[in-house]
Amino acid sequence: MKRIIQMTVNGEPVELAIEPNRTLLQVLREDLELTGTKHGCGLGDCGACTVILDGAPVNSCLVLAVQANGREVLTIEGLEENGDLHPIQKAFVEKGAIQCGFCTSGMILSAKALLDHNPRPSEIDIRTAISGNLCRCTGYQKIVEAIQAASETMAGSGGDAR
Amino acid sequence: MQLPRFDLKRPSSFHEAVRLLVEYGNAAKISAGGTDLLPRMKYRIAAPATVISLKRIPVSEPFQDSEGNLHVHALVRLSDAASSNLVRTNAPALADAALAVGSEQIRNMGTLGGNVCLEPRCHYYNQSHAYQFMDPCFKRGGNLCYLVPKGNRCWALACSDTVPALIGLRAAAVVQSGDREYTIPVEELFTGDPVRPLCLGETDLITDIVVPAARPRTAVVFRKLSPRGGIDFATVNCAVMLKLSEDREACEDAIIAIGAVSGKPMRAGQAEKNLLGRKIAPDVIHEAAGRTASEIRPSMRCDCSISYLRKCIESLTQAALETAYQRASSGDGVKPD
Repeated sequence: MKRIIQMTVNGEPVELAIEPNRTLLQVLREDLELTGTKHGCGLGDCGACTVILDGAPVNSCLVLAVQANGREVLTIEGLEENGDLHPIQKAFVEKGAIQCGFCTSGMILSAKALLDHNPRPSEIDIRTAISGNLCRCTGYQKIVEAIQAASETMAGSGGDAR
Repeated sequence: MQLPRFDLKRPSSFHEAVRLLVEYGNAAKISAGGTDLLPRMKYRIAAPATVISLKRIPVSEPFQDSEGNLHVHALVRLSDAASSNLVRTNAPALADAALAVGSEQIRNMGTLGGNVCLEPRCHYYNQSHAYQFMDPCFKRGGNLCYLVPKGNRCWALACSDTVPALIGLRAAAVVQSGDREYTIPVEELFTGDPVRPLCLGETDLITDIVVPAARPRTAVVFRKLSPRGGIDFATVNCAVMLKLSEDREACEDAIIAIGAVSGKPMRAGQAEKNLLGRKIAPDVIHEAAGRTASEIRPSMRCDCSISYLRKCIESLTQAALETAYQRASSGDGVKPD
């Protein structure tokens, strides 16, 4: 039986009728057409489907959509502001931290959750924060460099308002 | 991967959850964080008609009672358990173990109670069974083992990280059973049979974990070995408790608990006994680690050999004992009486 849920996705209130066996990932990609969140393993191993739920990164493939009722979801589409990329997105582009791009949205959201709580992370902090995101292309080094660069930019500009 | 269809119940208290368990019986499964159940449902190795989600039950913060015992709600997220100051100060081994589970995304969903009740895992069982038409293995209700040649029982492994730490801390679980509540030491929760791993009744639920007050000159240390630093389940994990005598030289009490190598966490009873009353020195620690490795009997598995596992157990136990001795002798992380 379908249930009505209300949640905030990227700052916009959304109301949907969904079956209990649908995951947040399916609802984001199929119903809301926010395909920036990727479907990787579907089992919580790869982190490609990472979204920020009430400030904490989670694997959206392991969250039932009905459990997001009344909660706030941030996906990769919600990072840009007035057409400008978020400093983490810019750093990923500038540092060449993107190759095939499949892990990128999850990686950036894990990085954002880290920098929101810890604006000046050490390399170990960064590597721990992205340990739930698998990348088969970059070897992680450029991703770590991009997050370090973003943390410097964001700390220099007084941090991200959101 | 699509989840099978199910009916979702969302009780707002443990009482209501137990009532639903009684009503739906075997057709229902409990989901706390969902990080263990949902992958199994996607693999079609669990197909409950009803899922009872505990997400609506209010979660209290960890607190200390008047006797100094630490109470941690079973539905506390692993990330909250790992970052709680109270847990970090009073039971650092539990915080370390909670931090060792999965990835940050998993810890933000997974709960302490869920990790204690983690379903034993095996390389054959934990894969998609959606299009497999072979006879089921022991764990899926059959009488075959596809992992161990001529295996006459299930060889799945209890991989929880928090359980060895809780055993080292001599923690107990508060269980809601119908209208009554009872307390059982975490160590006694496990049957050793991976098909039916918990001693709990069909309608029992763990509501709280109680860690006894820290004792003086005592340290509990958790260590985990896994192929990668994050995400993976443990190849071996280990928790060690060491209590020193008043002169801080001899061992007064010891626990060595090894997890992820068998159907339930194992205690190295003889190695513990051998430590009692002895002055702790590098050779004594080395001997205890060696005894632990020869005493624990790891189950057969396909990702590493038994001899490799024994070496892992030895080095992990040695490292944990050395740290525990340092902490207990220096008073670091130990609360006075």
